[in-house]
Amino acid sequence: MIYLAVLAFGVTLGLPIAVIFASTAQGKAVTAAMEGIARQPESASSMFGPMIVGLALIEAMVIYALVMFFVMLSKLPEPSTLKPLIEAEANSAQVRTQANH
Amino acid sequence: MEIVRRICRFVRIHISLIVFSGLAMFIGLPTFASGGRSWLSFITDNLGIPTPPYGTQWEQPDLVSNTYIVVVFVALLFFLGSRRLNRLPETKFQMFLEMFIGNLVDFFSNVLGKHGQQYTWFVGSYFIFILFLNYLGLIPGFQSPTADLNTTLALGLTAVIGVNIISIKENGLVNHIKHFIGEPAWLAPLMFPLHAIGEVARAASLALRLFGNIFGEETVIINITLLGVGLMALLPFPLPIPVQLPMLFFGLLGGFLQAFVFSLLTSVYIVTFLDHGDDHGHH
Repeated sequence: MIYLAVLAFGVTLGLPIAVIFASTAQGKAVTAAMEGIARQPESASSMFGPMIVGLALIEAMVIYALVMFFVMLSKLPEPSTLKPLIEAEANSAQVRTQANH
Repeated sequence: MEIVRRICRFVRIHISLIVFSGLAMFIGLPTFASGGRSWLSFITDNLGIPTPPYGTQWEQPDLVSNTYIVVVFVALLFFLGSRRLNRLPETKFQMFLEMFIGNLVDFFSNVLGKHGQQYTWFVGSYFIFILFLNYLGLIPGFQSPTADLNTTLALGLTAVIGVNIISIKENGLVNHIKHFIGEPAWLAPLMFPLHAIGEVARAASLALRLFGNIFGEETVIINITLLGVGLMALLPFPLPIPVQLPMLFFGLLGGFLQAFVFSLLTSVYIVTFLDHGDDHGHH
């Protein structure tokens, strides 16, 4: 049960964290490229290729996170199979509290 | 008068776009309901091509048919375009193809430097093939073969193997192995496996980047389409609302960008091998 809870947190939080930092990094990269173009407008065409390569390499990290997201998503159980697990957990918790009293 | 006609044309184009993509929702849904089979499922079934069982993640049942329809289309397009060539292009078709190929050669020549003319065929054909593979998924009833890990792994592996063959051809086998060993020769037992793993990682990163982008985009499109169906159920009359329309335009952009990035990175890999070989001569 704790395994499933941790898995749920991993699935829901892993990808957003990757997206937050990767978008920050991409923003920095594009900012630098735009400043370069503003300073030297004639360099715009030669700056395009390297900028796209850099963005693609940053984006690859998010894509790895996305692939891991899909891998972990397939590990999550169906809600219908989850219900008996939750009931068993609730029963055992009830038994424990009764034993403590 | 002119401005009125222009506004009329603008409105007509947009209305037809919206109506057609709304109808596309109806066409796309049966393929979703029948377990991800595309319109080409009859080819797969008749030829007896084995299909993965429904529910297998990241594998499409009609992968082979979808890929070969693109192969046939691209081959026919370029065959018909280059059948009767004139020195001064007379048809718009030849003009378009010449512009397309000319721009490709110009761009990859910038990246590849002095080997540009020589190896544009290698990276350029990856660009054209992946571009058409990505755009196939935007037609309702078909699927992008690049949204399947098998296709992208094959593309990435062939790209990296091709880069290595080009390096062997240009630098010679000895210099190619020297590139793997690195600068201090006594570090060879450490550096050689590292570089070899690096090559495999290049193939895997090319494959996963393409697969993740296209698969994610297709997943978003089908989910938004399903949202549109849910929205339609709330209305008192069955009016298809194309809520997936902006995502389709994003698919046009993303498909082009991923094909571009794949071929650009392949050419960058070629450059890293070739430039390193040149440096050995100078030192």
